[in-house]
Amino acid sequence: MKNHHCLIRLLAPLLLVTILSGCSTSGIEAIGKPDDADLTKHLLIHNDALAKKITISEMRGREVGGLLEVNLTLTNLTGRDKSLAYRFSWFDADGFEVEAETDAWTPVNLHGAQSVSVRGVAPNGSVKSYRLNVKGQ
Amino acid sequence: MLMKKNGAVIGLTLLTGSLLLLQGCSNKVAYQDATEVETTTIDFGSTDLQQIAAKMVDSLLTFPPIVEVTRERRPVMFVDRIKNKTTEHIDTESITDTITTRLLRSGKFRFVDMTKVADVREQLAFQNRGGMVNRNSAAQIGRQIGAEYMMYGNLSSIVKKSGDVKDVYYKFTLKVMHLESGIIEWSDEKEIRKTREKSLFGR
Amino acid sequence: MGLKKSMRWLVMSCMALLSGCATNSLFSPYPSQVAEIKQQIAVGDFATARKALEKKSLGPDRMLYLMERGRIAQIAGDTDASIQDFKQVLTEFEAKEEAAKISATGAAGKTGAVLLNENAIPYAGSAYERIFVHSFQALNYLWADNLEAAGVEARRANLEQQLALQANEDEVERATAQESAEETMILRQNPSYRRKFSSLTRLSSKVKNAIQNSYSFYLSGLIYEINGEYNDAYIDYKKALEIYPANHYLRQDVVRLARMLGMEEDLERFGQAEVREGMARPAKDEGKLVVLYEQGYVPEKHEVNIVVDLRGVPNNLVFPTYFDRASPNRPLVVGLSGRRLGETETIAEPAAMAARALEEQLAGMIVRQGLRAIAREQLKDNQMNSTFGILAGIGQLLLNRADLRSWLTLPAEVQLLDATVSAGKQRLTLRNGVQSKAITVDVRPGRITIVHVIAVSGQLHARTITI
Repeated sequence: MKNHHCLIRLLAPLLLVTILSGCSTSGIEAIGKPDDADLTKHLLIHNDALAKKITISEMRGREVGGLLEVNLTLTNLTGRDKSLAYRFSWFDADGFEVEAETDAWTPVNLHGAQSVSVRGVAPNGSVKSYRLNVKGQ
Repeated sequence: MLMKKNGAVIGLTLLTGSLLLLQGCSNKVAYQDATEVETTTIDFGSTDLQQIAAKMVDSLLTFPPIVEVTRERRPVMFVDRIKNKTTEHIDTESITDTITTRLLRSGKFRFVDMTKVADVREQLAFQNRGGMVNRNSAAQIGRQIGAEYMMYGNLSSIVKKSGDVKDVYYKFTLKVMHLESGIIEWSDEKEIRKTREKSLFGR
Repeated sequence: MGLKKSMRWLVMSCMALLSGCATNSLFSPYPSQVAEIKQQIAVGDFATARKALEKKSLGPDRMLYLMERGRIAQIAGDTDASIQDFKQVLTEFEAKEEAAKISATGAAGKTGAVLLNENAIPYAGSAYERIFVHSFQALNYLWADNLEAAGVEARRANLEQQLALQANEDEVERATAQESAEETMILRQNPSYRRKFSSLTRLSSKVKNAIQNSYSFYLSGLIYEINGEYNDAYIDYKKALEIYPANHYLRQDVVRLARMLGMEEDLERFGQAEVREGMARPAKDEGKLVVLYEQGYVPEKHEVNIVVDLRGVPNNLVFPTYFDRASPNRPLVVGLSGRRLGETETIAEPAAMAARALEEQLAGMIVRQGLRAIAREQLKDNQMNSTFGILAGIGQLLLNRADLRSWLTLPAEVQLLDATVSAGKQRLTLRNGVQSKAITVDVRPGRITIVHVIAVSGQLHARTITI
């Protein structure tokens, strides 16, 4: 009886931390430049649990009317429906963020094993690279 | 008797304790990320506005004929208005504000200030009540204020309810018209669907 | 010492609890509270009338008091105050709708009511009331020069009708289950019950259901027409006509728009003469004149008691009902520049809608009343539990009252006149057989002039707007 109590007391903060980290912004991140399509170099995983369920692939970029347009694929690796949110950030040649905080988190629902394309257009012509953040909802 | 009394005391303490707890939970103010997905109620909210603005701006800026037009110069545009055809009081001007700000900051378009548009409209004695101005008066306003394009659109909704589930569907339509020719150069839609299920327990 | 002291303590705390609800209708029946306010309206003292409701508009029945207050402001012509109050009412409706199925606050009210009295449940409003709030709010926004908001409220009124009709269908199933409950069967066969509810049945039979509201459809049609959305206007005028097929102003509106939109097949249901004479499209120097005439107050609920044997024990049960002795509704005779324009015709009967809504709730009420009576008997018999016995006794003495709450400043009937008239500033005369009033209207070419007339307590309140 007493031992159990001790165990719970020890585990509780740990449990709390994992739950919290599950809902915070940490997730999967893809950093890309249009001329460099090697995905494996650019995928940052902050949440292993999510990375087992969701993956980012096929990073493509091109220039349309002087603006960087990118397209990535999100795939649900599980058989269950998954609610996600994603957000783009944009950076200029010196790595400074451009028009910070204009892009908002966009909710997206993925059915089991479904893939969707997410598309983003840079807010202006100075953008040279981007970052895509994906998190669970 | 003593037992009973003790029980009552314990009960009372528990009650006040829980009341204090409840009080501690109410009235908490915290800052939140304005770009976070917001699902407080099923009503039209910040996430809907942001999603609509993002889709419209991305779509317009990458549409080939528009890319062609904006390659060498920054055409002047004015916003007529977004007609609210939903069953909610939605500030549609705030949607167009976000869209115009983003278009402006892309360096591709310039805009005529809304108050100037209103002044000219008054000058020409056009009523604003019919929503979208008709083509002739739009062209006339365009000449007066030196605008080449007009942006207008509408927001409509369908609401369904069955048992404890409420389903709302929004459709936002935006168009850009070339004022001299009356030709619609670009148009796009954004659909949003949300559901709300009544919770079993609550306050 | 124990028992006596603790009993006194219990009774006292119970009283304290009840006094907390004193602002609602537990002690003073709702209609008598409103009667005072109606007297103030009659002498034109709107400020006092609104002030009397101020404190109550924070209590558990705030939705009800705010509906009254918003309507009083509307009668007084105070559009902004009316908008604010109705806004709060609609927020309340929404909160009630979104509340969890099992809620702490709701459950407390309901358990209290099972033992004691239905007046203890916070007022939740009826669907017909909500639809009228939306429609009145649409009118308010027209006067506040906010056409878009008016359109939102008008569409909302229609949406709520549609949703309420659907919910009603589900309700019917539940009601039939209650119809077959033992208490209901016993009561239905009781001759005094049938006598006492005959006038309710007579009043409610004037409408098909409590929800479908022709006035709200007409208003949204009108707002669509102002916006130049003739197709949408046509659909709503047609819905209004379905509910009052004899209203010839509605017929003319439908014929006019059907011709304008080329809906030839829809014209077939109208007589040839009617189509020919049907209101023509306004000429260049003509405008449309609309007179909305809201008269009187909906009747108030009255308490009837019926003695009935339940499980061998005679029980005194109390119910709310309506007595059908409303003064007959007179049409408003409208004259323009000395010429008789016509008489208004019925477009909605809130009095009958209220009666219908009550009738639909009756089966549930009977079952609850029966259960309550049996529960009280059991408590009385149970000598062991004397504290509860005393409490239940107090409950029965003080609180065996019917729930008489409803929105009482709603009009008893709404009537309509609309016509195409020549433009210009003109003198409009309004006569309803008792009172008369003359106002100046400014009809402008191609525009719509709305005259909103409210007849209460022997006075005609009129306001006009040209859009």
